[in-house]
Amino acid sequence: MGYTYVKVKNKGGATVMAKKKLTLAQKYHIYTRGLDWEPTYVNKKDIYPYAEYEGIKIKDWNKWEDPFRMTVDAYWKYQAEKDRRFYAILDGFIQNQGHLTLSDARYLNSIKLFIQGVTPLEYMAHRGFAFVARHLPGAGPRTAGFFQSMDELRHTQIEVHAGSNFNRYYDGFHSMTHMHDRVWYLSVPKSYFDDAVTAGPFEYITAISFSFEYALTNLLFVPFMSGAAYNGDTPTMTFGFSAQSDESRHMTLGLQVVKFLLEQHEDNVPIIQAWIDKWWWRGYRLTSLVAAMMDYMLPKRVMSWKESFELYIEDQILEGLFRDLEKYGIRPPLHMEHSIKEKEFLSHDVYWILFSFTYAAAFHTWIPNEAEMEWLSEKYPRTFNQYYRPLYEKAREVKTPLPGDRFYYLSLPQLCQVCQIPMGFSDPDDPRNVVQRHVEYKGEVYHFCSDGCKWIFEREPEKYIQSWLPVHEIYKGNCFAEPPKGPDDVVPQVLRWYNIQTDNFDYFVSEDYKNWKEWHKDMATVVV
Amino acid sequence: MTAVETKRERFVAVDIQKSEDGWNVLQAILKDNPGAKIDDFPGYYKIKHPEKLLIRRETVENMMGRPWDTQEFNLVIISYAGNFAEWDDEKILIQWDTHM
Amino acid sequence: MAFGEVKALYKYEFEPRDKAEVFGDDIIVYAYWIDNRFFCSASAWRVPKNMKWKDFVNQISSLYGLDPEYKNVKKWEWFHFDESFKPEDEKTLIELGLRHKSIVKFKPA
Repeated sequence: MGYTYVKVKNKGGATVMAKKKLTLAQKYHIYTRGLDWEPTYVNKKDIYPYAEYEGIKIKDWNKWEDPFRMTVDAYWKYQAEKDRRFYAILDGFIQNQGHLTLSDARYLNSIKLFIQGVTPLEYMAHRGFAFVARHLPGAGPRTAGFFQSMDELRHTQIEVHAGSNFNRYYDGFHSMTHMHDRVWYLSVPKSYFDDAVTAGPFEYITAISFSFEYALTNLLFVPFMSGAAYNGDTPTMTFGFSAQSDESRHMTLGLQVVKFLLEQHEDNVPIIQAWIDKWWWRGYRLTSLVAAMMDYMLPKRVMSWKESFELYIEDQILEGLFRDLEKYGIRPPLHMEHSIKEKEFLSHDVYWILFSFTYAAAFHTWIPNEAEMEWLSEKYPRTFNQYYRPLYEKAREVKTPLPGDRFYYLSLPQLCQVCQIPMGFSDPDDPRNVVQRHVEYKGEVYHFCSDGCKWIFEREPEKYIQSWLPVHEIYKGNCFAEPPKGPDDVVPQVLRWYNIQTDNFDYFVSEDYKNWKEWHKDMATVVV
Repeated sequence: MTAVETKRERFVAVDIQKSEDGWNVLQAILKDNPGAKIDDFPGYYKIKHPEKLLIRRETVENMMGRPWDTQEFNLVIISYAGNFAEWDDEKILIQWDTHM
Repeated sequence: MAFGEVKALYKYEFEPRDKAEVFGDDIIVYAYWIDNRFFCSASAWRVPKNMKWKDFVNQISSLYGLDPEYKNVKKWEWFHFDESFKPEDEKTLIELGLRHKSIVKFKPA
């Protein structure tokens, strides 16, 4: 396929059929539309039972224009090429003991968070897009959804393989799917995607293709993968860029779907706006884990969260994307202003949370060294020295019975009912305190970290009253490997249920640190 | 504390891998888009322009010294800002304010 | 306060996973030290409804006592949600008006 036949006059004047190479648009149209049909003996509503209940109205699916016209033959060819290049680089890295050239073993704690938190989401995205590929009435978006479902499975695979190479030598990589379903901080990404896949096809695609993969993806992937490059982590950089090249197609799908829906019927505008509002905030809260990683876990830092937010969100999304969407009647998301106000606090708040609970986490944390604190105070001149440096100075002095010779929060935190993060987000107007909101619904009280999460709850309370909150589940006795023998056995039984082995506590008392020193003992100096 | 007012820019951009092929595509873009600027990051380049970016197959082929299909752009692109206004066998055009 | 409804193919209505009944004779209470970011967020405790206030304060001191400043405070000012609150040591949590998922906040008086 790739040719069609057209009628031409030959030199003798006769009309004959001649081969003509198809343009990209023609080829794509044949591959997608040409294989679709109108049902004659089944009702279309029975074939697509989820197409209408969300209130979205489509007048004409034929108005869908394919933005990224990748045909199946091109898909196989280029995706196979991306995989070949990825596995070749990974093999080279493994064969050459590349992990020894990482800047520092502390760096890998950022990748542990990624493998535990993000990789299982790639798998859920694979399932979510398979749903879209089946349930959207238009052949064009179904095809795009099908390719994306395969992309997401590929992403899962390359990430697992990249993580697997570190699993030979370092903590935290051994039980990603087991932990994703159980461990307290991982309920944050898990609940995010569960929220998306329990929505209908139109909300799902607005949430993931548009809000996550267009608006937010760069905050996750691009600076983070540069961080990998800066710190000698070739496998992560390679899988990041390999996945991101698919993301360009995904981003395009997201934007195209939203514009298509907005143009199809004016009744769609408020529905899409509400989804943009909800999914901006939920996705933004999710990426706060990346903020902490970027500013605290990269021994060689690329840029600050604040800088990344300004580039990827304020420039590219607000000035770029949302100016573009104004003509459709769409305004920037609700609570975006608060995200901007938070940018000098967010990474610090979240790392402080992760630091506080490292005894129960499958990664290590540490107190930033002096040079790192200098970088942080330079990048955050209005907040770091004032509100956060003092916390670490005190943390150094406070000892607990647990390994690590520093402070741990020896109890359980209050979690936000929606985003499920411990409610530790500073109030930018009163930074000595966190934001706390609550609401009463049908006789029960619910607590939230922000106006954004409270708004999301109030819009669909019956969803979030079902949240599986790790802290409450521990208190209900649902998170023990075996019933605890006494109060001192509670946390150990939870850690066993999590399958945490030597993955927790401060970096400087970890196996990772011990091994790193041993493997580098012939070097003149060991970093840190 | 009030929100910090930063000076924001509106631009069209493509993030290109720092591979052999990526370098050649980057050179082609620079040639065909006077006014384009490059930001250098570890592992990738960001190429920006206030209005649009045009990638022409012919220019890329001249840089590479071999035939090049516009679909191969998929192998070097990491991310982008803007819309794919056009993508055919001869060229790719990225800009804002268009219907795709 | 207007709450929205979840759009679905059926009436979308469920029991709250953490409703009061699930905890029986206990309640979840949150505690928060005002103006002190050393504790990243409020803490969560599962405690009996008829726990005496002084025993509750003793229990939460296992966390808050980690801050060296804690022992220096002679008298605390208390709040229940955002209302001023004057707890008595011998009264139970329920007698003091606490409910499931109450939050008590405190700062040096």
